[in-house]
Amino acid sequence: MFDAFLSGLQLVFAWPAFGYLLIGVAFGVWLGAVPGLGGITGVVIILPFTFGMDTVPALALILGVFAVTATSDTIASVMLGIPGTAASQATIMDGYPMAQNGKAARAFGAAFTASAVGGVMGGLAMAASLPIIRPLILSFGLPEFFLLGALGLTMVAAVSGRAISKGLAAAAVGLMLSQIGFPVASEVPRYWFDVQYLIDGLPLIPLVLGLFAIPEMLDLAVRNSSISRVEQKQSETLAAGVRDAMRNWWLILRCSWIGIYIGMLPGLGGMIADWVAYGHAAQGSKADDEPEFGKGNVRGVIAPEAANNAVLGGALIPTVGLGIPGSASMAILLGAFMILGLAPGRAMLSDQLDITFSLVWMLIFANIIGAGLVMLLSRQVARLAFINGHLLVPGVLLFVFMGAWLDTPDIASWITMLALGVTGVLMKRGCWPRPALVLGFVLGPVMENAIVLSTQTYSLVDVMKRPLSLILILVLAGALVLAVRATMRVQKAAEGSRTEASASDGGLSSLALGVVFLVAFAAAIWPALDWTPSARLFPLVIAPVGMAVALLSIGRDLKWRRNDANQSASDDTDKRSLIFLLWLAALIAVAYFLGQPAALIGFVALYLWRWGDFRPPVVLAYVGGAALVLYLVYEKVLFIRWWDPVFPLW
Amino acid sequence: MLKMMLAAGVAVLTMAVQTPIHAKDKYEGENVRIVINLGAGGSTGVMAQLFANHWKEHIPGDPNFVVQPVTGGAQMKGIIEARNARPDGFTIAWVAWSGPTRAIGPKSQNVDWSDFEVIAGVGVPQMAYMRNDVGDGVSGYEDLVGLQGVHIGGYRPGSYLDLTARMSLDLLGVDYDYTTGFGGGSKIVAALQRDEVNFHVTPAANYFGGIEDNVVEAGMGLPLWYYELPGSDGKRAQNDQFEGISTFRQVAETITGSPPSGPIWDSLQWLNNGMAGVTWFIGVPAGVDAETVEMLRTTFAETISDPAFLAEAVEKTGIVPTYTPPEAMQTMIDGLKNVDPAIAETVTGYIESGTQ
Repeated sequence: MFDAFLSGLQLVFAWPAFGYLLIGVAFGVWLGAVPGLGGITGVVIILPFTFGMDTVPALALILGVFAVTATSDTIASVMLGIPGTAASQATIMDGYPMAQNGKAARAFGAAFTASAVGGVMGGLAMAASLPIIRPLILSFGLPEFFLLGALGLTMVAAVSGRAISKGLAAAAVGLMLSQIGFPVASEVPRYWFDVQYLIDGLPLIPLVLGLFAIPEMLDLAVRNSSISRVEQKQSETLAAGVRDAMRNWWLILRCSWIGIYIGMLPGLGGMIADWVAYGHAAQGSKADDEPEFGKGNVRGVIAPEAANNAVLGGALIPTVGLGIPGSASMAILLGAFMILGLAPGRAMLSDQLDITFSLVWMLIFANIIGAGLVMLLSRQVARLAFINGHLLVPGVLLFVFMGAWLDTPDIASWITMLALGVTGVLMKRGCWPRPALVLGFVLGPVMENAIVLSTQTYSLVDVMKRPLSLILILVLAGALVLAVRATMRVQKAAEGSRTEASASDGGLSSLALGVVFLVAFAAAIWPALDWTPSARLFPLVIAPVGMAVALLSIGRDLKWRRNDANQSASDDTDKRSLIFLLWLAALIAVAYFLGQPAALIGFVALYLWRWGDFRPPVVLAYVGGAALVLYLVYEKVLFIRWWDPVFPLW
Repeated sequence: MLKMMLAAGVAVLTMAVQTPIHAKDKYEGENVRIVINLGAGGSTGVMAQLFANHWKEHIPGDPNFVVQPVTGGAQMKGIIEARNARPDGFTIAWVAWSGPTRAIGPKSQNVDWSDFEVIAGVGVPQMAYMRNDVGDGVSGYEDLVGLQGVHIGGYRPGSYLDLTARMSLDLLGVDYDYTTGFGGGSKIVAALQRDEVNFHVTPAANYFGGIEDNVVEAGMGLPLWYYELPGSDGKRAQNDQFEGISTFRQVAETITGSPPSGPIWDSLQWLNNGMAGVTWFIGVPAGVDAETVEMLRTTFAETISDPAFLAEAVEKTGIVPTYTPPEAMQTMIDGLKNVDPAIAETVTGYIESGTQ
């Protein structure tokens, strides 16, 4: 086997494989950095080019792309508070506050170091696990998937800070939104209101982009300032972040293992691994001089970044070893393997073992090179935190809108994104933790699938006889105790401090959201009563629990409003926020009638001219760049089909 | 394979269409989008990509093909995307069509196929395999008689693969449990390897593309039978790739002592011919000019019988796809408007009883 390990190394260095790896890494860095793109988009684009190529160079190109999107997706998470990909959602929890405090470069240093180590760990884990692959993966059955999902839900406490009732209600909203579309084992779609767009469920990318990107861009637009709220001279360096990562080496190793293990399990993946790793870090002890989690603690950046880069190594284990792809990206990779003449499974563990080990080396090199590349770029990128925010808003929104379109090419994607954007703005104003909603949305299908399939396959006695189930039940119980203790500690610390207490309340926005969610939960019960048992199980559990926690939140808000006389919000801010949202609604309307290029370019021009107050040369140059991006990137490289407008301009 | 090549050759000749002179100008240096309604890595994406690589060489102008997955909406989004594309011949639908189950399913899943100009239908046979450690052990389909503990792993209650599995075991008189909702074949294979389920009906491309190696060759399972498909001449096609594996018709006759018949058998046949026989519908949006449509039909028929494509299909997926010419596809589409009520009742009954 060691010979094959070395042969794999030789294969990677045999020209032109290494060159293709570098091309893949460069492309992957770009894909990860742009919100809404990602590894899957990249591989779909490059797959046709790999035909006719030799196997190893083709794999180098593909893996180069896949390996580093989880590294460069940190850029948008830290700089903009927008997840670069679905796997970097948890990074925004502390990464964005760090950027706002002038510590973007430090966050990058820590994140990229953790990413590189996590990626290398993933590759090594893949190599080490090949001999024991079958028992390692097959020990994890349907009941364990449910328990792992439940374990993930305990992270709600970690992402909710002082607003635990709101966190629980937001998680329940996420769980309920995940119920839209076809249930696991029934042919009647739920909560779809005869809208085709909803029949397979609400897509994740428009939801996440709406929830995070629109509120953050709105804030930048309304505040008339840069991302950073401190001056550039106070900013911290990349090297400080690297030192942070090295100081937290044990956390990186633990979170890498979390990423590897979750990556190995089919159906989970990076978007769960990063939350579990974040929760793991947040539940640990915190030094007195560290900021709180959620307010710029560097450990909150290190943990998810180590985990989400380690996921790929873990995910490759069942894909390569058993021919079982654990995620959409692995399914595409499996297809690529077949097209390239490889036979995932036993053949890749015997006859093609050297190629399998070449994948390990590709992962290792790609992660190291990718981290080095983004570190080189990060000094310049970090400076963006100090430039005029109005220069960022239109460009970022262009990528965000096109990202949602690329994920689901339907005008409903933009409407969904705006609706979730409005919800996100209200949640942000009302101090409702948005990550809790995403956590519920992501974990809902995992848990529902596992419970519906488990109940058809296992009895309760069967489950109690499974050692791994029992271990996970104990871990779950421990996590619940930790979550309750952490919540009580936070609540106690907040008591008596009106300033801190009010930080977890949000006035009228919070109250309004509580009422809307309460009504939505109540309304969700009625149609569910007619559904088949497996289809109604989750909605009928989630809705009453959601109502209870929404009521708790409403009660808390009412109490605060009675006790606090200073509830005046800035009327001007509210008015400008409303106008900004109306601009976005107008953008969608113009796209519907005149087409997307006209709407996006028009928005960019108008925003810079009227909102940003820039001079015509700047506006013209910016608009020219935006048009070029739309044409070159989306039309020529990504081959998207544009919306057919009612009145086409050309 | 020979018959299929001959049939495709006949189709090419009967179309007898001269490649339009302007086709070269039209496609030279252009991108042609193939819209698929499933993910890029599955058998749909792989077959579409393999085919596209060879199809481009038959089209004057050697255009660049881009396979674009448009997923969601219970596979409707890809169909709608292709249907709504500009009728310029640069967008082609390669979609999992599910014609029969759509025809008797809810209105939201119905498709008016007359919105397309039909290019062809392409099918992949389906087959059954299982674990070999059920009961006292299974070494062949004969051991199914009286066997207890058979447990089907299924996609969804309305999936034709689930329906095929359940109808087959009912026809053979085998008791079984049924767990459905896995959604994807790879998840069922994983559950089968974990011994949570032990019986699975799958497209043969998936079987030869990995299951054979990782389940059967690993000593964990065995192939049971495959479901034969009519060739483009209407007769049962010989499938060389299934050498040594019986057809379900043979298995049923051996186990029950008489040829299969009755409403369940009729329904199974209807599903097999309509779903596995035409796994993928290939068409362009209505309104594409007649010359381009004919050119695409001709070149498609040439490509499906191209030895280079067939060799690569066998090498990469293990199977030779079946070809349904446009006229036969049109007949099949017309037939969907008048489904035998007995078949519709049997199939919907199975879907309802399988719903959890």
